[in-house]
Amino acid sequence: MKFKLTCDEATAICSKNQYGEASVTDKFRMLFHVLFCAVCKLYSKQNTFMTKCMSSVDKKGVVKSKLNSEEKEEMALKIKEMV
Amino acid sequence: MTLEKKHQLNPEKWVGLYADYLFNYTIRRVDNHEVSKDLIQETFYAALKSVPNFKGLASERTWLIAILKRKIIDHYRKVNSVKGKAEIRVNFHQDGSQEGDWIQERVPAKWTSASDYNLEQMELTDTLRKCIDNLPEKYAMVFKMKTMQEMETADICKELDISSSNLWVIIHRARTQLRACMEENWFNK
Repeated sequence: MKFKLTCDEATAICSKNQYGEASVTDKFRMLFHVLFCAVCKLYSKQNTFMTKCMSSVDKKGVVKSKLNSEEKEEMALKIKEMV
Repeated sequence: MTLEKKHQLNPEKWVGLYADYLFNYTIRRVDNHEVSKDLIQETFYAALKSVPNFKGLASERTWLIAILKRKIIDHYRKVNSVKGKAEIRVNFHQDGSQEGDWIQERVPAKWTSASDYNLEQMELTDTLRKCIDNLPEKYAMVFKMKTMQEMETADICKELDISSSNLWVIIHRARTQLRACMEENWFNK
Protein backbone atom coordinates (compact mmCIF):
# COMPACT_ATOMS: atom_id res chain seq x y z
CA MET A 1 0.00 0.00 0.00
CA LYS A 2 1.34 3.37 -0.96
CA PHE A 3 1.38 5.92 1.80
CA LYS A 4 0.72 9.04 -0.23
CA LEU A 5 -2.87 9.85 -1.00
CA THR A 6 -4.40 11.79 -3.87
CA CYS A 7 -6.82 14.59 -3.00
CA ASP A 8 -9.69 12.37 -4.09
CA GLU A 9 -8.61 9.65 -1.68
CA ALA A 10 -7.86 12.03 1.18
CA THR A 11 -11.26 13.71 0.98
CA ALA A 12 -12.94 10.29 0.72
CA ILE A 13 -11.32 9.28 4.00
CA CYS A 14 -12.35 12.61 5.47
CA SER A 15 -15.98 11.83 4.62
CA LYS A 16 -15.73 8.35 6.06
CA ASN A 17 -14.26 9.87 9.19
CA GLN A 18 -17.36 12.05 9.60
CA TYR A 19 -19.11 8.87 10.63
CA GLY A 20 -16.21 7.71 12.79
CA GLU A 21 -15.52 4.81 10.47
CA ALA A 22 -12.10 5.60 8.99
CA SER A 23 -9.30 3.28 10.07
CA VAL A 24 -6.42 4.59 12.19
CA THR A 25 -3.96 4.14 9.33
CA ASP A 26 -6.22 6.00 6.93
CA LYS A 27 -6.73 8.84 9.38
CA PHE A 28 -2.99 9.15 9.75
CA ARG A 29 -2.49 9.19 5.99
CA MET A 30 -5.18 11.81 5.64
CA LEU A 31 -3.69 14.06 8.32
CA PHE A 32 -0.34 13.79 6.61
CA HIS A 33 -1.89 14.79 3.27
CA VAL A 34 -3.70 17.73 4.82
CA LEU A 35 -0.44 18.96 6.32
CA PHE A 36 0.77 19.78 2.83
CA CYS A 37 -2.48 20.38 0.98
CA ALA A 38 -4.31 23.61 1.80
CA VAL A 39 -7.25 22.78 -0.44
CA CYS A 40 -8.02 19.48 1.26
CA LYS A 41 -7.48 21.12 4.64
CA LEU A 42 -10.18 23.64 3.77
CA TYR A 43 -12.41 20.86 2.44
CA SER A 44 -11.95 18.94 5.64
CA LYS A 45 -12.94 21.94 7.75
CA GLN A 46 -16.06 22.55 5.68
CA ASN A 47 -16.96 18.88 5.68
CA THR A 48 -16.80 18.80 9.47
CA PHE A 49 -18.97 21.89 9.66
CA MET A 50 -21.52 20.22 7.42
CA THR A 51 -21.65 17.27 9.79
CA LYS A 52 -22.62 19.66 12.56
CA CYS A 53 -25.31 21.22 10.35
CA MET A 54 -26.60 17.79 9.47
CA SER A 55 -27.32 16.91 13.08
CA SER A 56 -29.46 19.99 13.49
CA VAL A 57 -31.30 19.27 10.25
CA ASP A 58 -32.08 15.88 11.66
CA LYS A 59 -33.25 17.18 15.02
CA LYS A 60 -35.68 19.52 13.39
CA GLY A 61 -37.12 16.42 11.91
CA VAL A 62 -37.87 15.30 8.43
CA VAL A 63 -41.60 15.58 7.91
CA LYS A 64 -42.95 12.24 8.96
CA SER A 65 -45.40 11.45 6.26
CA LYS A 66 -48.10 8.89 6.73
CA LEU A 67 -50.59 7.14 4.52
CA ASN A 68 -53.99 8.77 4.74
CA SER A 69 -57.21 6.80 4.90
CA GLU A 70 -58.07 7.44 1.25
CA GLU A 71 -54.77 6.01 0.13
CA LYS A 72 -55.31 2.98 2.30
CA GLU A 73 -58.83 2.46 0.98
CA GLU A 74 -57.51 2.62 -2.54
CA MET A 75 -54.90 0.01 -1.70
CA ALA A 76 -57.44 -2.26 -0.07
CA LEU A 77 -59.67 -1.91 -3.11
CA LYS A 78 -56.88 -2.88 -5.47
CA ILE A 79 -56.16 -5.96 -3.39
CA LYS A 80 -59.83 -6.92 -3.39
CA GLU A 81 -59.90 -6.66 -7.16
CA MET A 82 -57.04 -9.10 -7.40
CA VAL A 83 -58.22 -11.69 -4.90
CA MET B 1 -56.30 -26.02 5.74
CA THR B 2 -54.34 -28.23 8.05
CA LEU B 3 -53.63 -27.72 11.69
CA GLU B 4 -49.88 -27.86 11.21
CA LYS B 5 -50.03 -24.56 9.41
CA LYS B 6 -48.99 -22.06 12.01
CA HIS B 7 -49.63 -18.91 10.06
CA GLN B 8 -52.30 -18.07 7.60
CA LEU B 9 -52.83 -15.29 5.14
CA ASN B 10 -55.70 -12.84 5.14
CA PRO B 11 -55.12 -10.53 2.19
CA GLU B 12 -58.29 -8.56 2.92
CA LYS B 13 -56.83 -7.45 6.22
CA TRP B 14 -53.35 -6.60 4.97
CA VAL B 15 -53.88 -2.89 4.48
CA GLY B 16 -55.50 -2.45 7.88
CA LEU B 17 -52.90 -4.47 9.71
CA TYR B 18 -49.65 -3.73 7.94
CA ALA B 19 -49.89 -0.70 5.63
CA ASP B 20 -48.64 1.75 8.28
CA TYR B 21 -45.87 -0.52 9.42
CA LEU B 22 -44.66 -1.20 5.88
CA PHE B 23 -44.96 2.46 5.01
CA ASN B 24 -42.81 3.55 7.96
CA TYR B 25 -40.24 0.99 7.03
CA THR B 26 -40.16 2.17 3.43
CA ILE B 27 -40.23 5.92 3.95
CA ARG B 28 -37.16 5.68 6.18
CA ARG B 29 -35.32 4.20 3.25
CA VAL B 30 -36.63 5.96 0.18
CA ASP B 31 -37.80 9.24 1.78
CA ASN B 32 -40.53 9.81 -0.77
CA HIS B 33 -44.24 9.47 -0.10
CA GLU B 34 -45.36 8.42 -3.58
CA VAL B 35 -42.52 6.00 -4.14
CA SER B 36 -43.15 4.39 -0.75
CA LYS B 37 -46.83 4.00 -1.51
CA ASP B 38 -46.10 2.40 -4.88
CA LEU B 39 -43.57 0.01 -3.40
CA ILE B 40 -46.07 -1.15 -0.81
CA GLN B 41 -48.75 -1.63 -3.42
CA GLU B 42 -46.31 -3.64 -5.49
CA THR B 43 -45.43 -5.66 -2.43
CA PHE B 44 -49.07 -6.53 -1.88
CA TYR B 45 -49.44 -7.53 -5.54
CA ALA B 46 -46.34 -9.69 -5.44
CA ALA B 47 -47.51 -11.23 -2.19
CA LEU B 48 -50.93 -12.06 -3.63
CA LYS B 49 -49.30 -13.76 -6.55
CA SER B 50 -47.21 -15.93 -4.31
CA VAL B 51 -49.90 -16.81 -1.80
CA PRO B 52 -49.79 -20.44 -3.00
CA ASN B 53 -46.10 -20.57 -2.09
CA PHE B 54 -46.62 -19.34 1.46
CA LYS B 55 -45.59 -22.17 3.74
CA GLY B 56 -46.84 -20.67 6.95
CA LEU B 57 -43.44 -20.86 8.60
CA ALA B 58 -43.10 -17.12 9.10
CA SER B 59 -45.72 -14.68 10.26
CA GLU B 60 -47.63 -12.74 7.67
CA ARG B 61 -45.79 -9.56 8.58
CA THR B 62 -42.32 -11.10 8.34
CA TRP B 63 -43.24 -12.57 5.01
CA LEU B 64 -44.49 -9.24 3.66
CA ILE B 65 -41.37 -7.43 4.88
CA ALA B 66 -39.20 -9.97 3.09
CA ILE B 67 -41.01 -9.21 -0.15
CA LEU B 68 -40.84 -5.47 0.48
CA LYS B 69 -37.08 -5.66 1.05
CA ARG B 70 -36.70 -7.19 -2.38
CA LYS B 71 -38.82 -4.38 -3.85
CA ILE B 72 -36.60 -1.75 -2.22
CA ILE B 73 -33.47 -3.34 -3.71
CA ASP B 74 -35.17 -3.42 -7.10
CA HIS B 75 -36.07 0.25 -6.72
CA TYR B 76 -32.50 1.15 -5.77
CA ARG B 77 -31.12 -0.76 -8.76
CA LYS B 78 -33.55 1.07 -10.99
CA VAL B 79 -32.54 4.55 -9.83
CA ASN B 80 -28.92 3.43 -9.90
CA SER B 81 -29.12 2.49 -13.55
CA VAL B 82 -30.51 5.84 -14.63
CA LYS B 83 -27.32 7.14 -16.17
CA GLY B 84 -26.38 10.60 -17.29
CA LYS B 85 -29.55 12.45 -16.52
CA ALA B 86 -28.93 13.20 -12.89
CA GLU B 87 -25.26 12.50 -12.42
CA ILE B 88 -23.11 14.22 -9.90
CA ARG B 89 -20.50 16.69 -11.10
CA VAL B 90 -17.00 15.29 -11.18
CA ASN B 91 -14.66 17.02 -8.74
CA PHE B 92 -11.40 15.18 -9.33
CA HIS B 93 -9.42 14.27 -12.42
CA GLN B 94 -10.40 10.72 -13.27
CA ASP B 95 -7.29 9.76 -15.24
CA GLY B 96 -4.02 10.98 -16.67
CA SER B 97 -1.07 12.35 -14.74
CA GLN B 98 -3.38 14.48 -12.58
CA GLU B 99 -5.58 11.57 -11.54
CA GLY B 100 -7.08 12.19 -8.10
CA ASP B 101 -6.26 15.89 -8.07
CA TRP B 102 -8.92 18.56 -7.70
CA ILE B 103 -10.31 19.92 -10.96
CA GLN B 104 -9.45 23.61 -10.95
CA GLU B 105 -13.00 24.98 -11.17
CA ARG B 106 -14.20 22.62 -8.45
CA VAL B 107 -11.64 23.55 -5.82
CA PRO B 108 -13.36 24.58 -2.59
CA ALA B 109 -13.41 28.31 -1.98
CA LYS B 110 -13.17 29.88 1.45
CA TRP B 111 -16.60 30.38 2.91
CA THR B 112 -17.21 34.03 3.60
CA SER B 113 -19.77 35.61 5.92
CA ALA B 114 -18.58 33.96 9.10
CA SER B 115 -21.66 35.14 10.98
CA ASP B 116 -23.77 32.88 8.83
CA TYR B 117 -22.15 29.87 10.42
CA ASN B 118 -24.72 30.15 13.16
CA LEU B 119 -26.36 26.75 13.33
CA GLU B 120 -29.48 28.10 14.96
CA GLN B 121 -30.32 29.89 11.79
CA MET B 122 -33.31 28.27 10.17
CA GLU B 123 -32.31 29.29 6.68
CA LEU B 124 -28.98 27.56 6.94
CA THR B 125 -30.48 24.16 7.69
CA ASP B 126 -33.21 24.78 5.13
CA THR B 127 -30.60 25.38 2.46
CA LEU B 128 -28.81 22.23 3.48
CA ARG B 129 -32.04 20.28 3.32
CA LYS B 130 -32.66 21.63 -0.18
CA CYS B 131 -29.16 20.67 -1.26
CA ILE B 132 -29.73 17.16 0.07
CA ASP B 133 -33.01 16.93 -1.81
CA ASN B 134 -31.20 17.99 -4.98
CA LEU B 135 -28.84 15.04 -4.89
CA PRO B 136 -29.47 12.44 -7.57
CA GLU B 137 -31.68 9.78 -6.04
CA LYS B 138 -29.12 6.99 -5.94
CA TYR B 139 -26.82 9.21 -3.86
CA ALA B 140 -29.64 10.68 -1.79
CA MET B 141 -30.94 7.29 -0.76
CA VAL B 142 -27.64 6.01 0.59
CA PHE B 143 -26.68 9.37 2.05
CA LYS B 144 -29.94 9.76 3.94
CA MET B 145 -29.93 6.21 5.26
CA LYS B 146 -26.44 6.74 6.60
CA THR B 147 -26.65 10.36 7.77
CA MET B 148 -30.26 11.07 8.65
CA GLN B 149 -31.42 7.62 9.71
CA GLU B 150 -27.99 6.83 11.15
CA MET B 151 -28.17 3.24 9.98
CA GLU B 152 -25.18 0.94 10.34
CA THR B 153 -22.99 0.63 7.26
CA ALA B 154 -23.38 -3.14 7.22
CA ASP B 155 -27.16 -2.90 7.36
CA ILE B 156 -27.36 -0.46 4.46
CA CYS B 157 -25.06 -2.66 2.39
CA LYS B 158 -27.26 -5.64 3.09
CA GLU B 159 -30.49 -3.83 2.40
CA LEU B 160 -29.38 -2.30 -0.88
CA ASP B 161 -27.17 -5.21 -1.83
CA ILE B 162 -24.05 -3.06 -2.34
CA SER B 163 -20.46 -3.38 -1.09
CA SER B 164 -19.13 -1.13 1.66
CA SER B 165 -16.53 0.42 -0.65
CA ASN B 166 -19.36 1.20 -3.03
CA LEU B 167 -21.24 2.83 -0.17
CA TRP B 168 -18.30 5.03 0.80
CA VAL B 169 -17.75 6.18 -2.78
CA ILE B 170 -21.39 7.26 -2.89
CA ILE B 171 -21.11 9.07 0.46
CA HIS B 172 -17.91 10.78 -0.66
CA ARG B 173 -19.47 12.03 -3.90
CA ALA B 174 -22.66 13.07 -2.17
CA ARG B 175 -20.81 15.10 0.44
CA THR B 176 -18.55 16.75 -2.12
CA GLN B 177 -21.63 17.73 -4.10
CA LEU B 178 -23.33 19.05 -0.96
CA ARG B 179 -20.32 21.15 -0.10
CA ALA B 180 -20.37 22.76 -3.53
CA CYS B 181 -24.12 23.31 -3.29
CA MET B 182 -23.79 25.02 0.10
CA GLU B 183 -21.03 27.20 -1.27
CA GLU B 184 -23.14 28.31 -4.23
CA ASN B 185 -26.40 28.75 -2.37
CA TRP B 186 -25.44 29.90 1.05
CA PHE B 187 -21.92 30.97 1.81
CA ASN B 188 -20.70 32.71 -1.30
CA LYS B 189 -24.03 33.56 -2.78
